[in-house]
Amino acid sequence: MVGKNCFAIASDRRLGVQLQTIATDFQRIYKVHDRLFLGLSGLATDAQTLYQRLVFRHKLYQLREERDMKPETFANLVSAILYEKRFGPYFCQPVIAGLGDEDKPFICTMDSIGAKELAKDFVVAGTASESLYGACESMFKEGMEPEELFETVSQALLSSVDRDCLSGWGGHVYVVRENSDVRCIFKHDNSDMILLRSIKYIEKELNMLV
Amino acid sequence: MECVFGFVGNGFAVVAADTSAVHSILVHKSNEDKIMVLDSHKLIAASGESGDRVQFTEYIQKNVALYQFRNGIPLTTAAAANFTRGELATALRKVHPLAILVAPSLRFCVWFVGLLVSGFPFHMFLNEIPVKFLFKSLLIFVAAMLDAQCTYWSLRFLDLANLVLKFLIRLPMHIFLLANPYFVNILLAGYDKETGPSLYYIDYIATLHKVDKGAFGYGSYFSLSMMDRHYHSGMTVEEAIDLVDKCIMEIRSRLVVAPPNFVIKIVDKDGAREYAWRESVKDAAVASA
Repeated sequence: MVGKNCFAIASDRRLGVQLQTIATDFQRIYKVHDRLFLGLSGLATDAQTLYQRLVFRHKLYQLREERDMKPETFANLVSAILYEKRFGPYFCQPVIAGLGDEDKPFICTMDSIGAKELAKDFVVAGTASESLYGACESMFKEGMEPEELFETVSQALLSSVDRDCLSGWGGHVYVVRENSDVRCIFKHDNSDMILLRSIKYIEKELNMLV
Repeated sequence: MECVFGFVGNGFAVVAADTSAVHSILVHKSNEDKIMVLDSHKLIAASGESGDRVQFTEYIQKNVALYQFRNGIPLTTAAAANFTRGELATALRKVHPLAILVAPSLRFCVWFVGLLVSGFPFHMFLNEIPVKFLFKSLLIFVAAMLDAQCTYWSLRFLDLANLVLKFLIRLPMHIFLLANPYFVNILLAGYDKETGPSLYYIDYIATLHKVDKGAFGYGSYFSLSMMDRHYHSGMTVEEAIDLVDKCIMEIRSRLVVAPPNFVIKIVDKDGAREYAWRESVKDAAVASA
């Protein structure tokens, strides 16, 4: 999700094989460089393979160009690598979030064969994507500051994954703005507390409107 | 069904596996050791298809030994786990050379069979000339129609199947018809001086994850729940073996095709070694000639 000169990227923490949960601390969001994060949902093995290939390509790019890749360039790279496997694809949907020139946030997602979907407000991927669309659409506001963006993203994530049996067990949220990034991992037992805190925040806003 | 499970304790990691070698309904032997000692401080507990299991774990073992010979130092557990995952991932997508011939020819086969059936010379059974001529022309018309229909339906069916069963069929079909993966699930337990004990869960489709407790097979439904209830970090060896025994009891009493015997192996700073066997059925001793 995009905020004011910052972005947030969030994922759940479940690793499962159909109905069986294998682990509740699976890392789905990877840092490519300080201002570019990549989230990979879908088949875990393809997410790991794809991440290894992309990090390899980015490191080569860094050696050749002596600078980090821009998010738009990286998105094109991911799209090309996915389409290479058009008839035997990687079964994962990436979400790319980064800060471009002049700290303008950039987000995009793609399907498993590399069809890019750029957006100005938010992008979603995964098994809970339909509920995520609904939650993000209703909670999104233009020009949110990092703290408010963090609250919004965590609320949207929690309420959507609660309706999906294949997602859950807490979440990872990364909020990135220029020169710093704020990370938070909230575990399953803390999720109710965050919900309570955020509901109070929304109530306060409503009172101000009235 | 093969049951493998393990977890990490205080300065050690323990894995247990069943010891029955089964082929359909027949039990070949009940003292098959499925936990291979990879090197001095690593254990690899594998479950899955027998041929792949033995072949793949031996391949990993020899490559880990080769690294030690070439470089003079042993691999860390994390490095060995990532190497294993890399081999599984490569084999997952490597298309079997013969399969390249099979896949496109499937459509051709449907069309060809249709053509054979429709082009059968039924008119040979008729003796009157005018009827024979009419029948033959009708047959040619029907053959052309059937040929077109066969092509059309084979194309439609395959595309429809592709669309509708994207995840249920396409991935397994890709794996099972075209690729040649190793059907082995692995729990890799190891002890490193710097990082202590660790356990890695490696799926047959090369999903790698470092875990505190893991299990494979039908027995995982019971052992994972028992471990969720009784496991805590920093267990002593006695507590750990007690938990392993609890899981084995649960599997034996609740799984319909429960394997009778189990082997428990442990790895800690003193190395990887066999800890115990839990046998309830002993193979009959072979009578001497």
